[in-house]
Amino acid sequence: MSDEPSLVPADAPSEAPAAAPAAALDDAWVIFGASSGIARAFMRIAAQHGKPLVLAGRDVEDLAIDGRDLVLRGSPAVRTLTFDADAPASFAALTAMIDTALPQPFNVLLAFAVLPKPQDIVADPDLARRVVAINAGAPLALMQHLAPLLQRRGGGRLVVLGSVAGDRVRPGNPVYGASKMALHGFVQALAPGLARSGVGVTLVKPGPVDTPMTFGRATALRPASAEDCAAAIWRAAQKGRRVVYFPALLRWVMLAVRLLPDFMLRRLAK
Amino acid sequence: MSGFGRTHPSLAHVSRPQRRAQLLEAIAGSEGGLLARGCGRAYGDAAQLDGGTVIDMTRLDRLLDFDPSSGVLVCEAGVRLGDIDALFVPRGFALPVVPGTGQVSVGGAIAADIHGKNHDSAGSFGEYVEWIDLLGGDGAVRHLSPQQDAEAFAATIGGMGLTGIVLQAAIRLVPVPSPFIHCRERRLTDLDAMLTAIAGIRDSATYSVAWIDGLARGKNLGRGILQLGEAVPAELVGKYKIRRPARAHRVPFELPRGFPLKTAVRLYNKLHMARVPAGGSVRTLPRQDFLHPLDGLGDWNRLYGRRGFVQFQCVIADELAQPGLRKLLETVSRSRPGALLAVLKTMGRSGRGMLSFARRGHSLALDIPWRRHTPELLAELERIALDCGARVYLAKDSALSPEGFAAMYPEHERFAAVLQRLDPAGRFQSDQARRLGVRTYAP
Repeated sequence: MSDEPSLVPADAPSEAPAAAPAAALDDAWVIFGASSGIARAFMRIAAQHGKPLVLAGRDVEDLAIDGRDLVLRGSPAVRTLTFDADAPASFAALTAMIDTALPQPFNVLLAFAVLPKPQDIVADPDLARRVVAINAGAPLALMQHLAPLLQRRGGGRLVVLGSVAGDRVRPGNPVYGASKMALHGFVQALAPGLARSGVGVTLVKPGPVDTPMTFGRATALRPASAEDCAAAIWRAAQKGRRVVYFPALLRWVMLAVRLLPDFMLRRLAK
Repeated sequence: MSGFGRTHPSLAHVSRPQRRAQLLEAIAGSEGGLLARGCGRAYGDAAQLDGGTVIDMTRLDRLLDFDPSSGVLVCEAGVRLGDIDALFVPRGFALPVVPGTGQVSVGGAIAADIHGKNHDSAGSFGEYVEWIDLLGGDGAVRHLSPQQDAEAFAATIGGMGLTGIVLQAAIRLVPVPSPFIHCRERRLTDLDAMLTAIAGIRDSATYSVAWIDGLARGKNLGRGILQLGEAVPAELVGKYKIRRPARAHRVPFELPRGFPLKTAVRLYNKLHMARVPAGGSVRTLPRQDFLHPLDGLGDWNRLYGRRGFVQFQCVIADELAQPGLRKLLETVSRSRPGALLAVLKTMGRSGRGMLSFARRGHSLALDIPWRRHTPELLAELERIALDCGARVYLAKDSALSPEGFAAMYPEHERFAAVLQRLDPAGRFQSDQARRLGVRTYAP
C-alpha cells in the first residue's frame, strides 16, 4: 500500500466556497493517522475553529468522506494525503509535498499507533518488532523529516500522541509500552531545538480512550470519550502546553507510579 | 448488550467500524444474523441480536453534503440528531422531527420512523427522508426513494433495521427562525380536563406534550401538565428573558435495590404539579432544552437500578382515546409500582413506512420499572390496546406477542414480502423480529 503519495482536495460539498488554495491553507493542521478515533474528533474541533486540514492516512477514499464532513463543520479547505506508517521510504516525498502545499507555518498531529493483544505478540514474536516500527520507528523517522521543515517555517506546533503506558512500562503489554516510551524520549529531546525556531511541541499521554484501538478490550479504567480527549488536546495545543495527560488526574497518578520503587510496583502489578 | 431499558440482555459479536471498508469487512465476516445498531436508545430488544453480529454504526457519522437552497442534508447513518441540530440551528436550519432525546442516530430515526412533540403539524421523521442508500447482506448498495424501489423505501422507513443497513441518507431540514422556544404550561386536574385541553390546542400549537402523573388514581387519574411550544420569531428574540441552557447532569451509579423509588417519584410528581401555578406559566428556553428534556440527565436509565425498566407506548385512534387511555392508566396505576413517568401526545397522520408507528390519535407512553410480575402487566396492557385498536411502538417494545404484532401492523405481510425479496437468506434479524415472527409472513 505504498502508492505514490498525492495531495488531493477532498470532494467539496455544494456549500463549500471555491477558495484560493494557498491562502486557504494558512495555519493548517496536518493529521497523520487521520482515521484514528482521537484524530477524527480532533479534526472536527479544528474544523469548527475554521482551520484548514490535511488528512494523511492509508484509506484516502474514506478520508475524502471525512473531508466533506469537515468542510460542512467549518473548515475552509481539506486535502487528503496517502500515508502508510509501514512505508518509511515514502516519507521524504510526503514531506516534500507538504513543503510545496503549505508555504505558511502549519501544525502537525501524529496520531497513529497499533495495539495488538499481548497474547498475539507472544504467539508471533516478530509482531513485537513491527509494533515498535509503527509506534516508534515511523513517527521518529517522520519527525526527522518534518522537523527541519517546521523549523524553516518558524512557527506552528507539533502534537504527538503518546500514552500513559509509555510513562512506566507495565508487564501487561510491554511491547506497546516500550514503543511509546521510545516515542516520549525522542519527543522530549526534539522539543528544545524546535522551540528555538518558534515551533511548539505538545506530547499527549492519554489513558484509555474509547476508540477502535480499545473497542471490545478490557481496560484498567473506563475509557474516556474520544471527543473529550480531543478537546483536551486542542486546549493544550492552544495553551502551548508541553506535556498533557488525559484525563488530567493521570498526571499525578503517573507521577506516583514513576516515583514508586520497583519492588513496590512489582507487588502492585500482580 | 441490551436496550435502553436494560431488561432483556443478549450476547452478540459487536463491531464498531470507523471506516466504510471496516463496515464491509464486518458484514462479510458476520455470523448468526446481522443487525445495525445506532445509539442504543430503543428501550427493548429491537437493536440486539442473540448470537449474531451487531454493527454499532455510531462512528460512521459523517456529514456529506448540505444544500442551503433545499435544506437537504446528506449524511451517514451514525450521525446523532442532536449533533445535526447543534451544527445547523445556528445556520438557521433544523430537523423537522426530533424525539425526546438528541441521542438518536439518523439510521435509528429512519428504522423507527420516530416522532416528536409536533406530530400533528410535522408528521414523522420518514416524511423528510428524500432517499436512502441501503447496504445489503451481500455488501451491495441499493438507492431507495419514493421514485426508486418505493416498496423497499417504504419497508425501510419504520422497518426496524430489518431491510438492511442504512449507509447514508438525505434528510430535508427546515428553516428555523431562532434557537429558542416559547413554552406555555397548564396544570390540569384529571384525564377529561387534559383531553379537552389537548383537543383545543392540537391544531394550533406547533409543539404539544402532556406529562401525566402516572401514580395518580381515582379522581386525580390522568392529571398532569400540558406543555405547548412555539419557535420564537427572530425579531422577538431580544424581547424575552431566556432561561440559561440547562446544565447536563449524569446519574453516577445505579440506585440500590431497596431505594424507595416510588415514594421519591410520588414526591417529585407532587412538586412538579405544584411548580406550575393554577393560572399556567410561560417561559422561553433554548430549543434543545425544550425538545430534549431527557438529555438533561445523562444515563437516567440507571435510576431504575439493575433490574431496569420497560416502556409501553401505544397510539389509540381519537374516537377511542378517552376510554382507552382511562383503562390503560387505571390498569397501570393499580399495579405496583406503577408507571413512574407517563407522557401523552397527539399524532396527526399515518407514517410513510409499512411498519410506521404513527397514525392519527393519542399516544401514551408509560415507563414501568421491571419487576417479576411486569410481563403479566404488559400482556394486560397489550390486551387493552388490542381491544381499542391501538398500536404498540416497536422502538419501545420488548413484550408484544406475535398475534398482537400481526393485528396492530396490518401491512406486516407486505413488509415480509419485501424482506423476502431484499434478503432472501434472512440475514438481517433482531431479537425483537424473532420474537414477533416478522419473517414468518413471507409468501
